Amino acid sequence: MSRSRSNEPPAPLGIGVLGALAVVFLTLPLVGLASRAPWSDIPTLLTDPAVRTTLRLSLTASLAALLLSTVLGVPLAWLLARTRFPGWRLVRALAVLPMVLPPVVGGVALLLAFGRRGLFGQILFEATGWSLPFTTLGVIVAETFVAMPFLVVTVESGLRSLDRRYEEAAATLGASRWTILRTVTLPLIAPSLAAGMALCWARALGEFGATISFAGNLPGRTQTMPLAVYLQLESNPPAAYLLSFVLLVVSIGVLVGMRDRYLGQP
Amino acid sequence: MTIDSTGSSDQMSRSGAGGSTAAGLYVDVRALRGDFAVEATLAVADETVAIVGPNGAGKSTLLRCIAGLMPPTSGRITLHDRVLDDADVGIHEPPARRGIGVVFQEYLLFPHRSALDNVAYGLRAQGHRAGAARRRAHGLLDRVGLAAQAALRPAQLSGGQAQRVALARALAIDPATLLLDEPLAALDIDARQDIRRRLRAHLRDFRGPALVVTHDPVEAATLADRLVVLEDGRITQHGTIDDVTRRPRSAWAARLAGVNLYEGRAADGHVTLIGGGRITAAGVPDGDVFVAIPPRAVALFRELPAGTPRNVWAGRVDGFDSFGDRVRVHLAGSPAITAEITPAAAADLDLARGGAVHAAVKATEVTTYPR
Repeated sequence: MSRSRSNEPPAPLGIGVLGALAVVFLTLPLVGLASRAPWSDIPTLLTDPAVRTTLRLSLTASLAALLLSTVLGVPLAWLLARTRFPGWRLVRALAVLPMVLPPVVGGVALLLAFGRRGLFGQILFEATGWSLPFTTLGVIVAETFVAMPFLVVTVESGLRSLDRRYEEAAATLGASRWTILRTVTLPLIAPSLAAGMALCWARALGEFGATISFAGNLPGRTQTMPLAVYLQLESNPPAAYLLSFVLLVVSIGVLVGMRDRYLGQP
Repeated sequence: MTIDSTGSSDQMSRSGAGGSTAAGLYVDVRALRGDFAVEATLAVADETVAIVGPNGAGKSTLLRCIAGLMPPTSGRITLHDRVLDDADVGIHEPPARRGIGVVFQEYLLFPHRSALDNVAYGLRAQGHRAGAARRRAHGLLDRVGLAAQAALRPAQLSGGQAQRVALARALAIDPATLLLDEPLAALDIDARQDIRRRLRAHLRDFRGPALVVTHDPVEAATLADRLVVLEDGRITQHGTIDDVTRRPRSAWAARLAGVNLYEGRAADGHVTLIGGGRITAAGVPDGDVFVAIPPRAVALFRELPAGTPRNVWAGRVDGFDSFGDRVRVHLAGSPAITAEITPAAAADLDLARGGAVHAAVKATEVTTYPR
């Protein structure tokens, strides 16, 4: 409890009212979702093969996107935090652009690049007869495109706030640059890395716009949970409620996992 | 040591050309920290040398340069005839290959590792097996009296314990030379004395050149055999503590010695001071000299004294502070001077800021030495 704040003067009335209104606005949808979650049908719904397939696909694709984002995003974050090169500003802008770009636009852009008639996709298709859109790999690519910036930005700021003298101390003790990266840098930015990965995964799991425009909505191949929710909302509302509820629980789990960062002491 | 016949003759001739001493650490560099340039030449044998001077004088920059964390813009550094840096021919050994132990200002123990793993870090980084590294680290922790704290994280250690772990970590790599940057500055006063005593013992045991950076004169005097005074990026004086305090050659050294120091030009037993004023001294040779006057040798009078002192001049009280049973009075005048008198004398004088007084100094109390 924030005892230490008790001696501060009370908030002006207008601010208090509007703030309370914001809380109500944020709470009501959650209450609505929780109240309509088909509690009694949960066992049946969770054993429904269609629901299970969607769940499995969502988990696999989002975890693969997380892996890809980590493998590519951490080095990018390191380059942005530690080096200056011609075009640094441009690269930084590119790295964060998907955060502000409407995801559906991202999906269209991916299609124009990697689609069967896309700039690069056409070459690929003519050479191999294979193309990326409407495959599970396409889902992973779309999710990575949208989610990786969250990891890059978080890890980059972690690297920037790291006290580099620890790395210097390791160097004087005879550690090579790789050893320093592995034994000092990464362990010291572990909290930022974990937060970045959690944000990235949550974003990938909830991805809708880029996925549907780039990878389509094929059950078992590209239909992830958010797409299923949207579709089931008309045909099978209870299933939509359940999947929404599952996504809500995951989100809360991510938030609790990062409580030091986002649920900090007042 | 084995001698590599292909490379050594070249290295020998290079270090010979630079005029470095065969053994020990030899530094002759110019380094830039932003726009600020540090220039220093020093040779350290198997001894402890303190680099002293005010904050911002470039002490840490010089140390970083020797540790290899910052390449010099010109000059060279050799260690036992090994060339670590030679800017002219583009030699720069990276810190990892220098074999120099560094104790950093805030110790910089790796927060995610136990005391033991901190000490073992250097050995592990150099490819020693985990078991052997940990055994040796244990031995070193034992030597600094912290065997019982081996499993603790740095956050669980006191400041003094952290300092000892940092020392053990630096010693673990069996360094050819040891650099310590303000090793006691992060400690509270209670811990400082004990840790200083321990550190002195470890420095005595250490075989090799050791450099201690400090802004604390007491620390320098207890830990080091010699002092190098660095001010504004230049070495202004070096020598034993005695040399430096007896014949200070800079404002910082004068404060350390607690004397009034002036520069001037002597002729016929009188010194014309650069900052204004004239001092008569006993037996001063003609030429550029330093003039040192201990505050206790300065007498103050309300009226112009009639006695024998050769140096009498008028001044105004610019401020005063008391040190136990002494009062230090700072006079503005030509020259400005600090006098040390008893509280009783201060009461008699009825001192007030801006009050007019006369300062008197006997010629025999004035020390002069060539600049």
